[in-house]
Amino acid sequence: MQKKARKIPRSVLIGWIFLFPSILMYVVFMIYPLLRTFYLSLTDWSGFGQARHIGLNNFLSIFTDTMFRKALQNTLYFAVVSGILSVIVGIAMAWLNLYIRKMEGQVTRTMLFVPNMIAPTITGLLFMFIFTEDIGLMNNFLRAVGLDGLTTAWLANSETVRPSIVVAQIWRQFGLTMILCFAGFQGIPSELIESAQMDGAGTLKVLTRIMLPLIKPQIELATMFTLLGGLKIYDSVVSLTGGGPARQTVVLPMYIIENAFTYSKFGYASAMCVAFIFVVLVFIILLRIIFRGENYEY
Amino acid sequence: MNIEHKKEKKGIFINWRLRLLSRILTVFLCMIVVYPLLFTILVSFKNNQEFYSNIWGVPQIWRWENYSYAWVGGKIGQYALNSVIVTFTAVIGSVLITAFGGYALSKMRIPKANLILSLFMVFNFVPGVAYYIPLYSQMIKLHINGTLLMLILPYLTWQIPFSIYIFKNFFDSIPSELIEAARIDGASELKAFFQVMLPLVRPALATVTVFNFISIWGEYMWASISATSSAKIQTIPVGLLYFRGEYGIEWGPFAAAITIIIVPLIIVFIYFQKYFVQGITSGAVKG
Repeated sequence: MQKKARKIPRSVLIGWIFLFPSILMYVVFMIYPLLRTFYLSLTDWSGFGQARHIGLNNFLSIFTDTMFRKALQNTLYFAVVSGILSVIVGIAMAWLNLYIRKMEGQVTRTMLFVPNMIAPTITGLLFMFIFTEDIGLMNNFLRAVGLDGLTTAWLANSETVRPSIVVAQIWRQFGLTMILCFAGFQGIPSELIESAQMDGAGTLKVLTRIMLPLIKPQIELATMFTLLGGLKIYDSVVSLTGGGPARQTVVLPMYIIENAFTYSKFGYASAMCVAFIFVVLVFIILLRIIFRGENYEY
Repeated sequence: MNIEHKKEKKGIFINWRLRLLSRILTVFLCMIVVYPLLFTILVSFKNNQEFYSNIWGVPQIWRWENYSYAWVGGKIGQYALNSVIVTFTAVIGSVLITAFGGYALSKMRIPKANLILSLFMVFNFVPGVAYYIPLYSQMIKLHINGTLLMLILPYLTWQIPFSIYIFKNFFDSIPSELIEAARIDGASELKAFFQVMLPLVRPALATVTVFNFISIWGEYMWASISATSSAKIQTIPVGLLYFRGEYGIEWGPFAAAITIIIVPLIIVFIYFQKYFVQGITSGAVKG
């Protein structure tokens, strides 16, 4: 033992000391609570007193909880629909940005990226100004161009409330894909594109056959970020609709927090957290499968 | 990429029809992006009467009193103070400990450094809500519920994975000879760290600071849960929604409150955007 202890060089020891604060905080405020959540998911803890083990009962209740299903559906809908659309808009904008002058591009990319760093709560509030029935920009715009028939209470109509949230999400998210893919496009050696053009490939063909396959890693990363970020959607829904109308837009974190901090069903809420983690894991695996295959080296 | 490359690139992407289409679409999208912000700023100077009669236009009278009303009457001032204290402490704290951590993982020959880094990164995918229930009772046990520490400590911690990753990558790109030279000079480890290493990774410092700042400044979920323990620790995102609940019909002051929050952020972002983009794309390189 002693021999071993003496073997650790001084610099490594100091290294551990440097690393210690990060490890300590990480264990206390991330690993420990996460393990507790897994433990609590097997109990009926109500916030006070002793937690009683009830096995997998919480998980069985989840399967019959129609509100949970609704919340999960909404979460998946927002993540997938707005995720895919954001990535498509982002790629398109990155590509179009190649065709304008460098300075112009820099200015427009900055502008288009601004929504990405505005807090989601604020996004929700901004879009309230757009979609609210009487004073919203949307209805005023439609009336101004004579399309009165299309006006509706966007956020109170159960047909339009979810697409409205999707629009707000795209507004917020597409900039990330744009920045990532633009960097990817710039990294493509110009000889590749030139030789394709000389072979007579048109602009669109160059894009779909050469440029997009070459930036697959960037597209994958953007999709990962956007979809996994989309699964966590909460803030913007709270500030835009609060889950309404008639609980039509309740998302998973909303339902979990309500169960925990309003109804004190901490055990059940923890079980839903575990289920949520499982859903995210499935998503990661699915994305890995979708993006499987080799990346092209250049 | 060298300059020659860039010159050639210009040649490939010249196509006047696409350039026109690109300009039209980009300008259109920029308008969509900017208009809600501009609209909010204009509304912040109107009163309700003008808001309804003149929704699109520039305010006839610039009502600066909306701002003082939001700041004092709407308590945005108090929320802002909380947000500033929480954000600054948490950002400085996490930058400091992860700079040490990333340096240690990169340059101090810690065994299995890459495995340790992956262990830091692996829980990043877990949705935040999965931590909050035990964390809340943990805060009560630590007797810091209802104080700003309840926000500062978790915020600081949640930034660790990304920050330590960026720092390690940057330190990796710095030749070890530099630190060896500092050691031979007799500089102590701490002195070498602050005087030699940290100045070398200034871009990493900026990237991590900007990222942490933006995600902490806007955090809502944990802040709103924490605020149930005491109204005194409401931060801006929480206070703003509360403000809407209370003064929802007063559009002017409400928009003024939003403006107070986003305008500084936009200025900070435009100033530091180089580092922001760097942070995102450096994640892309290693994937």
